[in-house]
Amino acid sequence: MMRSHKPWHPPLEIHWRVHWYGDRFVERVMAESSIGEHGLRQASPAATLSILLLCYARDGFAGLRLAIDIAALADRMSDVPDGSEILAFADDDREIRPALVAALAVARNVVGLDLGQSIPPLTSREDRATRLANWRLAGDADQVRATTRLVDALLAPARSNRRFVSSRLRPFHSPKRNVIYVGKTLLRWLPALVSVAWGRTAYALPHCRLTSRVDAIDRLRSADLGSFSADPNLVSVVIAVQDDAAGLAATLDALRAQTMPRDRMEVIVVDDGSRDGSAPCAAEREPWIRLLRLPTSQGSYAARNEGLRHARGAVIAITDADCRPHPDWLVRGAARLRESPRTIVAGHLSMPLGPTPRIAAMVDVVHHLDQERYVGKGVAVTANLFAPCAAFEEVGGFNTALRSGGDFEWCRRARTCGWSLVFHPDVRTVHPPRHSARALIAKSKRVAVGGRRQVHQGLVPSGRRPYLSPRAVVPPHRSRGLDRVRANGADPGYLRWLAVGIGQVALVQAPQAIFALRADIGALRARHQARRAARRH
Amino acid sequence: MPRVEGSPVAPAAEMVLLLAGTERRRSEAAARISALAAIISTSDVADEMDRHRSRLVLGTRARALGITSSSFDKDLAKFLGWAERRSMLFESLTRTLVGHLEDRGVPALPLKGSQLAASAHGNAAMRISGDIDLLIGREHIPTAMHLLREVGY
Repeated sequence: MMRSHKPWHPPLEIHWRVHWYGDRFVERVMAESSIGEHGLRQASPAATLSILLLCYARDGFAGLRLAIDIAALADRMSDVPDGSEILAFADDDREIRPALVAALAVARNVVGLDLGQSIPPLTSREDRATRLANWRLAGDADQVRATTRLVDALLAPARSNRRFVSSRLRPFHSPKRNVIYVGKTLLRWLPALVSVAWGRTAYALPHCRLTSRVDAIDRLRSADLGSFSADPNLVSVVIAVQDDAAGLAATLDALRAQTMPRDRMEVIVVDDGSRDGSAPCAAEREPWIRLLRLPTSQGSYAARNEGLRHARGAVIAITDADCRPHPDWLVRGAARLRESPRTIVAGHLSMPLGPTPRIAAMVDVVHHLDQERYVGKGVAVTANLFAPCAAFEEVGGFNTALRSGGDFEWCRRARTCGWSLVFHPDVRTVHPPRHSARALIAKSKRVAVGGRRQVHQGLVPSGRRPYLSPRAVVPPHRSRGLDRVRANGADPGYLRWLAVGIGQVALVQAPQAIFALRADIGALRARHQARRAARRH
Repeated sequence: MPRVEGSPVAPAAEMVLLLAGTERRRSEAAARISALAAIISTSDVADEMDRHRSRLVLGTRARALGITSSSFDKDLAKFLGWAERRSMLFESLTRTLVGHLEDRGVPALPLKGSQLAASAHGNAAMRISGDIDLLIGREHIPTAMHLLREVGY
């Protein structure tokens, strides 16, 4: 059978970018273009760079590709245009100029493009766009999702979004494709439409969320931990304890057995207002341990911050009062930390179960303290964490307003400040699992409330609402966590594993959903009351 | 050490960022690139390069620094061959389209594409394009659309 062959053409799309480039911009680019040696029209070097920078801004600084081209082009130019020559193409256009300024700043930051000192300082909106670019490059999807479906809107002046949105509606020959495209575009640009309808107030909505997070991070970073007098040969171990004499004794025993020489380590135990008085007693007996006392219980994160204020080592190791570090824990952790700069090391946590563990213990192993999984998500727990003191100086201490999740929050903050978090399985600590249902439910409550509080404080742009998730009532996949349980020494039969599945719902998932809902309702109520009070005032 | 300010960048991403920089930044970061190369697998870096659709440019730079594996170099050479054939096709299409437009008095300026690759990277194949971008004045849009329909679009 004969087949007719149509010549192949790349797909045709007409982009109505006259708005983006601007008529005067196009005229000027065309006027300065000339026919090159290949017979094709080519723009002047400054025009080429300004077009590429505009494209980079238009794409929301979404990838490196254009930045690479811009840098390579600038490298090969014998006479690199100055920043002012690039900005001259903007001709004070209300959209093109901020886009070019932001693109120049991002390109300078990302690929080191240096076009002189004539680039004006960034306005707050342009600055937000550059932050967005960094987050995008870092693959911080949460941050990007929450803040900027609208990088263009960040760059565009207020109240000009109507033109901007309409410029994005592209005509197709097929009516069906037109309808689909317009529908998808409307959905994508819904916030921009809202901003058109509501004017400046609503336009600021996405900014508010971003600003609140940046402000919250800056506030926490500025929390004073004092100045570190770092001794490069010393490792400071910080342990917070409250009413857990037995656990602390086990930890101190393990620290006593460390292979690291005693003169190269210091142990700081911070008693978070223990009521039974036994925990301080356990620590006081040892002269090589420094004991600090908080007069009242202020939470484990406040206690750790107190320990950090008194730490003298260049390396800070944090563990919990009931953990039993492996004898080479300090040596390996400190060595790993020194391997690469600006790194935080999270070590492995095992939770030995024994041959016939209780259901609650297995649920605990399945759900909690899986450091490797946590690091994969960019967070870690403080039960086994090494960081240079410079990290705490730069990032600040733990968030004392949180009762749980403060370690995750600190890790996220550190990563935002440019620190890498690395998992090392050979930096080992043993953490005993919780054996009672009551302890697990209390843990679920702390986790749920801590997580929601981070959202309320603006530290996490969008949190998972456990009460809206089917996970609250549906048991997880039956194989999830089984490997970890087996790795910790137990091999449950079918019925016991079934009970673990039910236990996960009853002891972890459902309580987390309930407590998260309660925390959200409490926050809404508090906000409502504050508003009413402000109105009355 | 050049880093993206405020970004939690993974090692492979950092390597790609450093390779992406200007010549000056790359020379400043040569030691860091070598240190990263010692701890990251080539496949991770290749994946990261692919994420930014820049394996040809960055892979060539990495190869010049001698930090790539032989299998990576082999793949890169194969990829470059394919890209050269593709860029020739796109270049000829661009030339034809611009020729048609200029004949009708429509000045058209090719944006990005193989022209940019040739002037920025010294090889038209270094940049994989999926389309042809032409900049034309607003007043010429109806004429250009009419012409493009005539030639089969």
